[in-house]
Amino acid sequence: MSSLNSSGKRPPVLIANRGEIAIRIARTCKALGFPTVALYSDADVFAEHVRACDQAVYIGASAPGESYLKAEKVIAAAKQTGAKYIHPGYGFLSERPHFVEECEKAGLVFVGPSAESMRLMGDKIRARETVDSLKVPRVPGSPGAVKDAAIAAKFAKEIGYPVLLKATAGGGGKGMRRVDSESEISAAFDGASREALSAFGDGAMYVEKLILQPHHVEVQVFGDGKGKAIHLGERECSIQRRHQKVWEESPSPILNEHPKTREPMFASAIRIAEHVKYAGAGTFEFIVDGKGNFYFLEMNTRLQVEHPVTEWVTGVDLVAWQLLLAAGEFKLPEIPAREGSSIEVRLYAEDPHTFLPAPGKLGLIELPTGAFVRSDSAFKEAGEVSLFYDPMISKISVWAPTRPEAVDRMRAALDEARVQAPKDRQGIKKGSLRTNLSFLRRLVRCEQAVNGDTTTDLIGNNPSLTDAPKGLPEVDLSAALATSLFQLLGESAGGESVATVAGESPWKLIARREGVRS
Amino acid sequence: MSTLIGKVGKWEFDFKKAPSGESGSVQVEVKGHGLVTVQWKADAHGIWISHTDPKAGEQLRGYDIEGERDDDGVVQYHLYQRGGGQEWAGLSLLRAGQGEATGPQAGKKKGVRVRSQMPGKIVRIEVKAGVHVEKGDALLVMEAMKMENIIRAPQSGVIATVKVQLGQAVETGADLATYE
Repeated sequence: MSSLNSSGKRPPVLIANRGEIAIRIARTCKALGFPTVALYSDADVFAEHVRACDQAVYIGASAPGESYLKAEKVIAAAKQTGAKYIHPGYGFLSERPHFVEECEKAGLVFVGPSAESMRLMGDKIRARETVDSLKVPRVPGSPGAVKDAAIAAKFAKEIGYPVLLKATAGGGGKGMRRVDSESEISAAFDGASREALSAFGDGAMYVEKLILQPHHVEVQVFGDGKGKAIHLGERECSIQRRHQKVWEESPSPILNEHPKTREPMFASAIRIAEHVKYAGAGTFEFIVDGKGNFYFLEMNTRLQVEHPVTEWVTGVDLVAWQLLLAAGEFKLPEIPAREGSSIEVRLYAEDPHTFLPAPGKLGLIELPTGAFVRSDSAFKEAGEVSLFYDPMISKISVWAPTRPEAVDRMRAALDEARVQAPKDRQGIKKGSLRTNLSFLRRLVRCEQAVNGDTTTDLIGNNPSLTDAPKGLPEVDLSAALATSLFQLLGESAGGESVATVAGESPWKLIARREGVRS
Repeated sequence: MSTLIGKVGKWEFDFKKAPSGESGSVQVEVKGHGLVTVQWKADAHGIWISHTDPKAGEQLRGYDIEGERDDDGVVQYHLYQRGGGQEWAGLSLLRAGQGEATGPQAGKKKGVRVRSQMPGKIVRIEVKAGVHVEKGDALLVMEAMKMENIIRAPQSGVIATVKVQLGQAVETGADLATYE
């Protein structure tokens, strides 16, 4: 049924997030007839997600702790605007049970699981106890948080090196270290714990066996909150840099190699989801080794960054399901059929060789489009990748009937994308922005990735992906002429008056400086 | 405006007039290939050019071009082919007579500076003045985007000064340490 009937009657959704995910959520809200409320910090006054929503509320300074993480400000914004639902997106307040309770107390509906199931699954150590009781296999490790490096070393010896130190409150690779021998464990423990304390406000660590030749495979589930859940297939997110995903796909190449692993994995995920009466979209992360053995890693009690991959192969709008469930209008369907192959890559403001963050102002952004190509971007035009937040610029995802065709489509899409830093009249780059676009273009041509041999150490094993180009490259006539002309034109432009930058009059610039601040 | 004769990589060019403006056409003597007519249309981020290639025939190609000025003031261009995925780094038109002296690898300098590649906070300092470091050794640890990033020695040598203090917030481009 079209939502035209109900549009204008539905209560507003407050989107407690920013960037691409806030825009993505707003799009579905609009389609379903939910009015939208955005939040913004000082850094986000002109951000695209603010423009994408019907109204916006200022919630504080740029640092997340002063704005997007301030539960009471978010709730006050909802009250002030008459919003009934709060969609947390991913990150920020999305996995904080306390926030869910605060929403309930304020008479608001949190779009996501209950505080209770979040607590059960969100805390990695309690999640392990639940998982063990349901006989789902998991990676050997310390039974709980370890107090210091010495105790960590004791467990590591028991399990056998290499081990992984992980923050109990962690995620996204923060507060995580690989340790190959006892001599490294003390320094690694301190570093990871400090990182966790600063990122999550909690420095507790645990020890886990490191699986070699591992694949990261996750199962998307959707629960009705009453003890029923279905799965929507898997995603493989093995290709990572700095322990953070950069390429995700469905179906999983390693499960295609070991198709018998699939159903037991799905069954395990559903068993846990139903046990905790999970409501809404959730993801079970597993490690799958080269032989097809799977081990539970953790559950993410939220919408994942890489959810478009699942949307491509199932045809399901996961955010629509979340919203309709929250509105009491959702009935869990049969498991959707999955068709074809989808790949997503993450375009970041970071150095393409070292992967160090390199946020800054954009000078130009043009994202790919065309048949079966989707760009979920924080930008529609040149803006600024703020150093206060995650430096992701856009997700680019594609679908095709088969994986090789999806890889081809992704290659064409990435070649079409353009992201450039601002420049002066001579074409000299201004500001600190760098992007991983060159890296992604090399990755989509990397034999190991093209063939679907997607282990988590793919990037490390293919140094040509990250090596800086050496010496003068073999340049063709066209590129050589373009360089010369661009340089000569820049020199001739440099000699002129610099009064008009990119067609803007100095009066306009002055007017802007004076006017905006009144 | 200096000379219109120069080379990019293996290509040697002699521009018959100085190009200017957003678009136009210019004749270039390409050594070994004769006179080539090049039409161009430039914009804020690069250039489209159309020319006859002795091998490939008529070609229309676009490039996004990003210049970066190194410490010596020499501009090197990074080209990204529009819609093609090819790229080249470190290109520039080397003028006749300046030739090799201004190449990208023209002699190692003393007093190399280690600069911050990103804004962040110094959370650990591993070296002090007078210490010899090997290329790749950890110099300090910066926290940026909630991640700890190890700043490593770009080359072997003796550290002259450490320019930052523990807990200090630094901007992109700030000096972190210098070599003797």
